[in-house]
Amino acid sequence: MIKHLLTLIWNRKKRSVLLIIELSLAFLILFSVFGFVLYNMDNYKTPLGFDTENIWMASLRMNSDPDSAERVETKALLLQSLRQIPEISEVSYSNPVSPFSGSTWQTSTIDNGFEMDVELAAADLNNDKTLGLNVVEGRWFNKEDKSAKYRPIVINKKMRMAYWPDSTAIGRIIKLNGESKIVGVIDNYKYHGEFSEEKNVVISLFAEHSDQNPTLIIRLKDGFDPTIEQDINRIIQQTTKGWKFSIENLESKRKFLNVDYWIPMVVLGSISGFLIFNVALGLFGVLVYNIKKRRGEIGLRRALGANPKSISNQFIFEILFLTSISILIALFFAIQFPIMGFFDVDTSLYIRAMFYSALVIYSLVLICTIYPSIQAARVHPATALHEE
Amino acid sequence: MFKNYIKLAFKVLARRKFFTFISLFGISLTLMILMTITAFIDSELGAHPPISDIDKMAFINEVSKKRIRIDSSYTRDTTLVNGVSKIDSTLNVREVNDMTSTSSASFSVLDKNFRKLPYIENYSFFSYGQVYDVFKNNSKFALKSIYVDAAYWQVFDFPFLEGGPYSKQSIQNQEQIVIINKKTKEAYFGDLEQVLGEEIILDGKHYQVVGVVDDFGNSRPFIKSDLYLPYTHIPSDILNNPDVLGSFEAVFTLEKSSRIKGVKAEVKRIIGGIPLPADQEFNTLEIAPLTLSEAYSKSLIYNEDASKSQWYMILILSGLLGLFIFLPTINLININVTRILERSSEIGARKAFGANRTNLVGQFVFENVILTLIGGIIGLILALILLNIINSSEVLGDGKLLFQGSTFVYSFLITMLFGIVSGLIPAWRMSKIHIVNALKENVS
Amino acid sequence: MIQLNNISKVYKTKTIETLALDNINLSVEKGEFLSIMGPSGCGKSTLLNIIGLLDEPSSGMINISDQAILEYKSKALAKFRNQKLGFIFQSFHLINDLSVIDNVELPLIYRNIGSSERKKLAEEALESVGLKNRMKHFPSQLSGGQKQRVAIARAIVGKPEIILADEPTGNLDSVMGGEVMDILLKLNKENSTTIVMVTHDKLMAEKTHKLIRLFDGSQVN
Repeated sequence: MIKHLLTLIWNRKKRSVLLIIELSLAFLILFSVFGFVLYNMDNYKTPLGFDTENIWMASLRMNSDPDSAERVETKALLLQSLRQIPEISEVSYSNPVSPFSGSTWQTSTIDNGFEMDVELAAADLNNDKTLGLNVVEGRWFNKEDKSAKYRPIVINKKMRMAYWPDSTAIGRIIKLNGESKIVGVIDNYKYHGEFSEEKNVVISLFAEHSDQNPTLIIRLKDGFDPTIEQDINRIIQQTTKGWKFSIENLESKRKFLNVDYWIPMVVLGSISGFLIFNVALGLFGVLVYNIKKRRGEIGLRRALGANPKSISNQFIFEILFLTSISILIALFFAIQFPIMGFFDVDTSLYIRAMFYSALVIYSLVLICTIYPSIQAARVHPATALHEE
Repeated sequence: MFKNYIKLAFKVLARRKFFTFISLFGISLTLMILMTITAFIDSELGAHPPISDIDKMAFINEVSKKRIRIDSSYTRDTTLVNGVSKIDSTLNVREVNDMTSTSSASFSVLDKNFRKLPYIENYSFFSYGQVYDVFKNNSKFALKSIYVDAAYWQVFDFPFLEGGPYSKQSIQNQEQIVIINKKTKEAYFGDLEQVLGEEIILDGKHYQVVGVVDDFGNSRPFIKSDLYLPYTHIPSDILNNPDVLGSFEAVFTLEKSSRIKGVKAEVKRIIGGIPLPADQEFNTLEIAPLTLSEAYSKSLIYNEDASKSQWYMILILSGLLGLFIFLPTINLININVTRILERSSEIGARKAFGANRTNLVGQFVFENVILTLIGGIIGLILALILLNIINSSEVLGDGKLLFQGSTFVYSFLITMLFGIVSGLIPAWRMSKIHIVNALKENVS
Repeated sequence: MIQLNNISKVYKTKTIETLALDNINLSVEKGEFLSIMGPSGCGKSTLLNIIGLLDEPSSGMINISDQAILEYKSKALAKFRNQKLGFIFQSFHLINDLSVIDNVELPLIYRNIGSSERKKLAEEALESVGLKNRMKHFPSQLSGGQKQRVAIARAIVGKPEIILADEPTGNLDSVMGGEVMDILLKLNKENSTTIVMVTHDKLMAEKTHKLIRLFDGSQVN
């Protein structure tokens, strides 16, 4: 039976070329869109690692005043004054590489034969409480760290799993701008944004006397009055005497950054959705016509003893066979991506994208085949043969 | 003949509702998306106020200092010479760039070197400023600022609602003045009709409003701002900073767009003579004036040579666009082939009564063009609705997409091409059917 | 009027050759009504298609109105068909998307005749087959006999010298078939149009001037 159907398909191959091109292209388009969306959604699913609700941030631009002693004093004074406000539960500083700031500090080092690519950030003693960081191993910085022999660092879990998957990372000393000792591991730290890929992050202690512009991070208590922002603005202005700054709400910034990812996903999704729907409609039209055209053949099969079910099965088999050929052709192109390594992503992502694309194409084709195949099964042998 | 084609086209469309629906659906949505994309590109890169002279503009938006050192290494190969193994060593000398620092330009580097470029009609230096938090009526606005010089208002033709640009004199006098945009006016002054002479308080300082600019579609950061302040308000230590990196960018209006090559060459010559700070290890300076589309492409697809970025960008865009048009075209061809084969009896009869191949191909292509035209009109309406939705939902921030005549013309041309191509192939195939076979198909 | 010399037609496929027509010689005078009879598959439709320039013979010579039309290119052939020949088919081949009058106008369209002139001629043709009142109808609204009368109107609207009819009554019952046959006879008599008709029906064939029989591609007498 199958051989018979294959012969039939082979003899009709010329008529199927357009259909195959169309389905292959549709698969490739779906594959790229699924790849893009899955990549983003995988990143989106890993937790940020810090809170955004009730958190405000202000990157301060210090005066180009060379007197660093006065700056240190101003920074300390600012923390003090802000802690007076009852709505504020915690305040702290980090260096300019802070959540959603857009700043990055990358470095790579070779340590004991390891080549490490890491991103550096710096934060002070209270940063874990202010941002709600989750320390999973070891501890966050404490006062003793300021005078420790080795520079203390906290790393994220991704980095710990990448370099010390089987043993503990705590207490290890690595060469990273001098010798640094790992004192703690936090679980996630996606400071570039919710849709960004998690990187290996090393957080060091942000020294009070640092020349870098500080980022002020403020955690407010639940149900605070938003007009408090004006008071905070005034306090910063008065205390710092002319440092430039702008207060940002971390939650709105999170949403704002996400828009840049949602828009292309929604646009690409709807464009490909439209293309696929278009293909489905076309397919449906062509199939309905084919059934009409082949009434004679169907009538003959019925007259020779085929039951309605086998007629519609035959029809569905033919279409699924064509679809499989199209998908195989498209897979040949799609598979070049993981083979050539065009993008630096996990192979499993490609496989999932292929799987979902195939799933969509098959289900679409099946849906488009249902009505025409029922029609085919309904063909009455006598009338069909009479027409012929 | 023509009238007859039209009549038949409409009759065929009306009688084959399902095929007509499928075709129109594909055509109109394809065109809707095309027009929206064209409108987007046109809004961002097209020549409309305030960048009407965009074709003649060149920008310096990036300065790089690099450390390039000569790296020499030996490669050794063992080769057989006359049956004896010999060691063949090659000395490789290459330039290695192992440190780069890139940012906007400093005021001093622009001020000292690029005020007298040839082929230039006008130029302006400007700097992105801070974001000001402004509290008014218990709500906060974050206002973006940009520091500009007097020529800025000549290079860019901003649409003013009230007042106008400030003069060179007021800039030199460091007057406390500001030009704001319409959004800021509405947010800060509410229902106030006239705001000229009113004051805005930024970080405790009072600025007098001397002009209000209207909204425009483009969202390029060098023109899109809430506050336009005289650059002389930037502290002098920043303006005098001798480093080449800073927060300034420059725009030049060329005499003719073709002069860009000359300007690029001249800039290249000039930077050879600019000394780099001695205390740093950098030894190479890179500054290249770019057109807007080069700069835009470079920001999306990074390549050191911006013209390559632009070239890749064009390739990728046309590739995507091609794919996007290709699929609906194949779909339409597929539908048309089916639709035309269904009419084989008609083809047979027409041929028997004297229609030649040209007549038949003409008829079917014409039918398809009519169909695409209807689809084009629906697509146009849909595109206008979509643009309206995008603009009113503000998903693109305050960027407004414009719908220009040129967008319509391009889309119209694409529509026609779409119609002709997707009609021609099936028509050609059909016209090749032998009459005897066409007549055999029993559909009365 | 029509002169066929040594016409043969061979259908070739990869494996077999089928001889559809074997050395046919035939001549039809002006004003003659000729019928061709024979069993299914004897090649009578092929012969008619060759006379009607819809198909080419494998060998032989055809002269119509003293023109050696086998030398014509396809464009010229189309023009020749348009001006000299009219066709009537067993299954009508009316264009469903066109109204009756538009269907009848079809041959005139390819002559680039103005629309009012076309309309006038088409109305006349429809009148002569007694269907003027159905002009605005569509083929799907007509009975088989009416459809075939529309097809006759279409065949005669361009006043061709020759009408070729391929089993014009084959899909019709005897009453309708009789009506169609009467029209053809009248046409032949009044306008002295040359008619070549393929038929199964002996009664119809006997009404014509001359009858030839085909069997397995050869002429038998």
